Amino acid sequence: MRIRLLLLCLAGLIVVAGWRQVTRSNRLRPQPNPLTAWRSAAEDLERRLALTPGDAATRSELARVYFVHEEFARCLEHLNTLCIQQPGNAQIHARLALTQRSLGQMVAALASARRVVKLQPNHAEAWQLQGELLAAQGLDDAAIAAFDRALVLNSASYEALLGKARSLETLYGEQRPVSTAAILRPVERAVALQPERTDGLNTLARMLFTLTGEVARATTLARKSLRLNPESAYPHLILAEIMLASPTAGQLTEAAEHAQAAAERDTRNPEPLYLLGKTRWRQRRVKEAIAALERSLRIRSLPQTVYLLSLAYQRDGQPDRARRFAEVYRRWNGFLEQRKVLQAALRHRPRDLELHCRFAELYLSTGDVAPAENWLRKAELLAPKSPRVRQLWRGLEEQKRNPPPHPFAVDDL
Amino acid sequence: MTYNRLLLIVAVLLLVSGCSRPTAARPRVTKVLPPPILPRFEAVEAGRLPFRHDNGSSGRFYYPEIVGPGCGLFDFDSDGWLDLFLVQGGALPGARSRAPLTNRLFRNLRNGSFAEVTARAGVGGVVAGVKSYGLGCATGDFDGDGHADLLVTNFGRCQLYRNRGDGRFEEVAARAGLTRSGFWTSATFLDFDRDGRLDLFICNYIQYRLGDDVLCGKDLRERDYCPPGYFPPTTSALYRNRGNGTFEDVTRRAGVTSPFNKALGVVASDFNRDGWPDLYVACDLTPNLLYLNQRNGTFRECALERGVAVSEAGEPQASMGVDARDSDGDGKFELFVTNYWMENNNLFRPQGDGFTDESYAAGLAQPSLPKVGWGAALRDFNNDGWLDCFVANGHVLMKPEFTTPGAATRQSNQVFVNLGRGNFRDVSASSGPDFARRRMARGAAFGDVDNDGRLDVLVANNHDAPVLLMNRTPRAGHWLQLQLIGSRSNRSALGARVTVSLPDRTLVDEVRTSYSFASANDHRLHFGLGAATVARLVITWPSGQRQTLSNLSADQCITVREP
Repeated sequence: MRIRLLLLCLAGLIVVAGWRQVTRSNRLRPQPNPLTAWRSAAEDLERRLALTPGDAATRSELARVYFVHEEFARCLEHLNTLCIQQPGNAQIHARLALTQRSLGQMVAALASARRVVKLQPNHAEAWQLQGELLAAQGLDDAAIAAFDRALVLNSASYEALLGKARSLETLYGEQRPVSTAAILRPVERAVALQPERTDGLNTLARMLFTLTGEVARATTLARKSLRLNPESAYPHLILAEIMLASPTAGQLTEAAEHAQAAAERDTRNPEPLYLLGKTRWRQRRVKEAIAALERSLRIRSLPQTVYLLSLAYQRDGQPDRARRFAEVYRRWNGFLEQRKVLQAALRHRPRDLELHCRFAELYLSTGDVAPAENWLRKAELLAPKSPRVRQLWRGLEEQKRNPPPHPFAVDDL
Repeated sequence: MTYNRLLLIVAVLLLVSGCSRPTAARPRVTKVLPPPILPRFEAVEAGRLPFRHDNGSSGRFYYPEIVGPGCGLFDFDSDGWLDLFLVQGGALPGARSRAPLTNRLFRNLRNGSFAEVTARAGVGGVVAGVKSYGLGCATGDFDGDGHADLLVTNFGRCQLYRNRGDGRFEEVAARAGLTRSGFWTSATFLDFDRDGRLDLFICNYIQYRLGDDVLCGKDLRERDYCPPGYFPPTTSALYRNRGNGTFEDVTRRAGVTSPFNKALGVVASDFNRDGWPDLYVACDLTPNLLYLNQRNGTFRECALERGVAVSEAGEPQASMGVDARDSDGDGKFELFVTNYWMENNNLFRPQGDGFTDESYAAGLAQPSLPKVGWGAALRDFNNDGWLDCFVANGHVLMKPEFTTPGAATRQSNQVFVNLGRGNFRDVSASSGPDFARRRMARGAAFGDVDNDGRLDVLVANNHDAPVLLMNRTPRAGHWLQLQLIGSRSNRSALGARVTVSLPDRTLVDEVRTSYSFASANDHRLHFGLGAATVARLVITWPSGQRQTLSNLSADQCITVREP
C-alpha cells in the first residue's frame, strides 16, 4: 500500500516537472509581440478596405479586430458603414449595439438591440442584450421581460438567467413585491447548468448571503469559486462580507485577510479596501481603518466609505474632517432620495416630460453627463421641440466643455 | 535543561499573550451576575378596554392606514393613577360607514378596571362631525397649571387639548398656533430654551396627499402599500412656547429642517450632557437625525458624524421607535432604535463623543431581523436595576410573505431581559402567553398602571384591539418611583436628570414622557433597585439646580418639588 502511494507521488512529481519543462521551453521560444501584431493586421485590413470600400467582409473583420482590442470608436465607425450597406443584417446591428454599449451610448445601444429583434425576433442574444441595456438604465421591469424572451428562445442562456436574477434583485432592493425565491431560481438554474463558471457561483453566493442569510451554503460556493479561480477578487470579497456579518475576533481577522487578498487582486475596485477599513473599524484599530478607507476613496468614492470615514475621523479626534465627510454623505443621500422619488413618480406617469427633465437636471447637478444625456434623449422623444429640453441640452453641452467638480468627490486626503 | 525549557515556554506564552490582537467586543461582564428574574406579563381581558382601532382602509391603500396608532398612559385627573388614552384612526375616502369613531380616554378605577370618560373629557377628536385621522399622542403640562395636557397627532392638523383640571379638556390647537397640516406621527414636549415653559417638537412623516398613491404590489389584484421612498421627505415642526397659551413656529429659525426628515419617532434627551435637551429623530429609510442643542435657540444636526444616522454599512434604515437610557450601567444613555424587517434594531452605545452600534454584541440584533419593530423602550421590568427591553412588532405590508419571506403581517411582540451590563436575551417565550399572539402592533406606552411598582405596557395595534400587559413578574426586586414637579424649571420637570446611588452601583434616568413610537408614557421616573431597600438620589433639575435626597426607603412613589 505504502509503496503504491510512494509510486503515485513520484509519478505526480515527474508529471509536474515535465509540465514545467514544457512551459519553460514555450516561454523561451520567440513569440510575436501581440501588441504590434494586431495593429499591423488592422492596418493591412484598412489598406485593403481603402482599395475596395464596398468589401463588407473585410470591413466586418476590421470591426471585429477593433472591438476585440477595445478600439470601440473605430469599430463603431465601420459598423455604422456596414449598417448602411446592409440595413437588414441583424448580426451587424447586434454588434453595433454591443459596441455602443462599450462606449457608454446606452440609449443608442438599446435602439440598435431593438432593431435586431425587429429584424430577427428569434435572436436570443439580442433579447438578452436588450435586457442588459434596460437594466443598466434602471428599467428593470422591462429588462426582466426582455430576459424572459431570451429564455423562451434559449432556456439555457446563462447570461439571461443571471441578468434576470440581478434585475429581480434590484426590484427587491426597491421594496417591490419580488420574492427572494424568484430571484434565486434563475441563478440556481444557471449554476446547475454550468457549475464550474465562477460568475454564477459568485452571484449565487452573494445572493444567498444577502437575501436569505444562508451563510454556510454561501461560504461553500464562494470557496468553490475561489478554488476554481484563485486569482479572482470577488470570492474573497464575499467571504470578507460573510465574516463581517456576525464577527468574532477570529472572523474579523479572517475578514481582514480576505479583504486584503481581494484588494491585491483587484486594484481598481474600492470595495475591498472599504471592507478592510470596516474590519479595522470593528477591531477598534481606528488609524488603520482610516488608512484603508482613504486608500479606497482614492480609487473611487463610495457612500459607505465616506460615511465610515466621517465616523473614524470623529473617533480619531478630527471633528472638522468628520463633519465635512458627513456633509458629502448627506449630499449623496439627498441625491438618492430625490432619485427615488422621481423613479416612483415616473412609474405613475411614465410619459411625463417634466419628470424626464427633472431626472436630467438631477444628473446634471451631480455632473453625471451620460445618464443626463440618456434622460434628455428620452425627453426629446416625448417632446422634440420642447424649449425646456433644449435649454437642458445647452446646459449639458456646457458641462461637457467645462466639467464641474463632482459634488460627492473628496479630494483633500 | 528542563528548567531552561520551562523558561522558554513561559517566555513564548508571554510573547503570545502580549502580541494577541485586541478582541472586537470589549469584555462587559466583569463579575458573575446572578441569573436574571424573568419578566412576566398578563394581558387584561379585551372586555375591560372596549376599543378597536379602525385604520379606515377600503382597499385604496392610503398611506396613513399603516402608520398608527399610538397610545398614552397619563394621569389626566391627577389622582395618582395612570389613565389610558387610545388614539383612533378615522374614516378615509371609500371606507365603508362604520360606527362613529373617536379617540378613547379610560379612567383608571384603581381596581384593575377602567371607565370610559371620552365624551365628558372631550378628547374624542371629532371636529364638526368629522373624526380627525389620529396617529399618536404626547403629554406635558404646557401651560404649567399642574394638569397634564394632551397633544394628539393627526394626518391633517394636530389637536392640542388643554387640561382644565376638572376632568375636561379644551381643544386649543388653532388658538395656540398649531395650524400646520401634515402627516404628524410622534411628538415630544421639551423645554429646549430652558425658559421654564414646555415647547413642542412634532414629527412630520412624508409629503403625502390622499390620492398621491402610486400603484404598488404584485399587480392590481394584489395591491399593497408602497415603500416610503415613493414619497418625498418633509419638515417636522418645532414650536416655542410663548408662555401665553400660544406657540411660535421656530422650525426654520432653530435649524431643525433636515432635508431627510421622514420622521416617525422622537426622543428628547441631553445626549452630550451639557444641560440642554437635544433631539433624536427616527426616520423611515432616510438617515436618522441627531439635533444637538446649540444653547442659543438653534440646533445642529450631526447624526452622521456621531454614528447614529444609518447602519454601519452606510445605508439608511426604516426606523420607527426610539428610546434613550443607560442599559449598561456606565451612566451614559444608549440609543435604542427599532427598524424594518431584516434591518436589525440598533443599540447605539456612546463612545467618545459619538456612538457605536453594538446591537449584535448586546443580543438585541439577531432576534429583531424577522420583525418590523415599532414602539419600544429600555425599562426595568423585573426591578433588578438593569434595564430590559420591550419591542412591539407588526408589518406594514398586507402580503409581506411575498417580499419578506418568513415575515407575516401580524407579528408577536418581544421582551428581552438584561443579563447585566447591557447584554440581553430574548425571553419572550417565557414572558407570558400574549407574546405568542400576533398582531400589527404600533405604539407602546410604559408605566405602572396598578401602582404595584412593576412597569406595565399598553400596546396599540393597527386595525385591532389594544392590549394592556400587566406586569406580574414574580420575585421582582425593590423599586422607587419619583414624581417630579418643577418650579423654576418646567412644571412637568421634563429633562430633569436623577441619579440613584445604591450600595454597589448607580442608576441614572431622565424625566420624559415621549419615547417609543407615537405614544405618551408614565411621567413618573421608575427605578428598579434589586435587593437594595434604601437609596440616595441626586436630582439635577432643568434649571440647573441640584437637589439631594438621602435614606429614601424602597417600594414607594414619592413626589419631589423643585426647591
